[in-house]
Amino acid sequence: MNEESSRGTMIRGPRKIGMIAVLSIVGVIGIFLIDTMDGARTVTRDGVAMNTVVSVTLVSAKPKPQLNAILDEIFALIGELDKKFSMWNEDSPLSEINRNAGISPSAADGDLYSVLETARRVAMLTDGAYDPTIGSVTRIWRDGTGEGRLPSSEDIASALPLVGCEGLKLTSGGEAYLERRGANIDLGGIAKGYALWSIRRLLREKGVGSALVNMGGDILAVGDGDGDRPWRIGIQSPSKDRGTPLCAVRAANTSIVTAGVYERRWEMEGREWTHIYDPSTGFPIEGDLLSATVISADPAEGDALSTAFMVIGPARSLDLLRILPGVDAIFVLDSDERGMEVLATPGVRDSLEMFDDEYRLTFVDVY
Amino acid sequence: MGLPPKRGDLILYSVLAVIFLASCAASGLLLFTARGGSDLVLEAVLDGKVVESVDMKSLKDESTIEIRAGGGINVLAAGPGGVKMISADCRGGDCLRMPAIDSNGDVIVCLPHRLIVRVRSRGPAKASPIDSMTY
Repeated sequence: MNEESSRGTMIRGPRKIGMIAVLSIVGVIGIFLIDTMDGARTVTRDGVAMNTVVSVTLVSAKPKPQLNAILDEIFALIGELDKKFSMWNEDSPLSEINRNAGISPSAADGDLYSVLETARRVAMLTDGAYDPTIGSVTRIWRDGTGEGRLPSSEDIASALPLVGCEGLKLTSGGEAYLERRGANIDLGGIAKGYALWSIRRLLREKGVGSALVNMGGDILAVGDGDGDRPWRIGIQSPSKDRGTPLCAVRAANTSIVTAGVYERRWEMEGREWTHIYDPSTGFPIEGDLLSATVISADPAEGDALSTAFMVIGPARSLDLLRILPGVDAIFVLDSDERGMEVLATPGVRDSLEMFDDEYRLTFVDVY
Repeated sequence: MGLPPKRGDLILYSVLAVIFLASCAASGLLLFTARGGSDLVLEAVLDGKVVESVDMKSLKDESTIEIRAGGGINVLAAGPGGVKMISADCRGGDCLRMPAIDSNGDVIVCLPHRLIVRVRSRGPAKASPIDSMTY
């Protein structure tokens, strides 16, 4: 018997017990690790922010506390943007710009300046069909309906000359100035989209590669799905209960934003009105177009474009889409001549799925 | 051929085995509760936090739930079509016009009170073809 085997015989029991103990502990730890590290986990949080419902889903292998901390940051970010962008909050930097219209330029911080730049660009691109300076009109409608009456034609006529993005100046020193006294900026048609853009930037910084954010129907799809399959986004049926999709599109690293006349409708003096105003008339829009969905990389641009498309209708929108590469759209119409119809650009041909046979699907070549 | 295990070794092996099996059972329970089951629960969410949670199966027809939120009171009632908002002292009363909810993912929203009432599956959501809705 050599020395080693002799020593082995002497201490065989404790060594074996030690090994078993170590293996047991490793095994137990392993089982718990299976639960905590078996690839991606999904966390979702719903809340109310920017006067709408916000739902954020993160898919990541990060520990749950870390994901919850990211959700906290996202909701805090939305809250901060809401404070800056609201025209109804007298203390917001936007209200400061509105108060100083025709008087002096006001400071616009990074986010406010950036959203105004995008808003101004889309206003010019759409020839004012979307216009952030619609604020003087929306204020008149809000004041009037708040008192239970429609605004008078005179009121609207007096507000219309104040609308127009050529009167909004952005200086290289980070200031914004409305040249016409009484003009007002209303970021209602772009604020949610800009918030989605900011959330995407935050998620990139945090290393979250897969997420789905829904801000009152405006969608940001980060990554190409939840790991098992692509994100699928339903487009609301105009005539059915909320949550009933007319069709759906697959989405990866994109934003999907819809403007629809069925949302936030209200009744007064025997008829229904929509919440989308035509900057050229000062009145809520009318027509056969029920909704316009924009699929684009930039959710802020998509948000503003969807409003513009509702104002100018599908024919002029399709003309515009010819000069907007990478932007796709889906229009839902109900007209006397053509009946119920879905018009879509070819970019969604492979990902669009219809659920309602009552609507006829047509792809329109815009390339 | 090795020596037979001592009595002390056997006791230690048994204790370790019991600890191991108990841990396995705890882990299994953890995994099951995290991913298993499919019961629906009605949740009231205020500022991202669940302030009320009721098992949908426990709701009888005409039973009501009162929720104090955002400086006001919302009252939900269960009925044959699901759960509906029947009373709210909010501005506008849009939540009162929302349809009854009974399926995973359904929501009723009272914006003035910052309240979301939703139906959620305790387990994994049944594979839905739709991840989110644009409107």
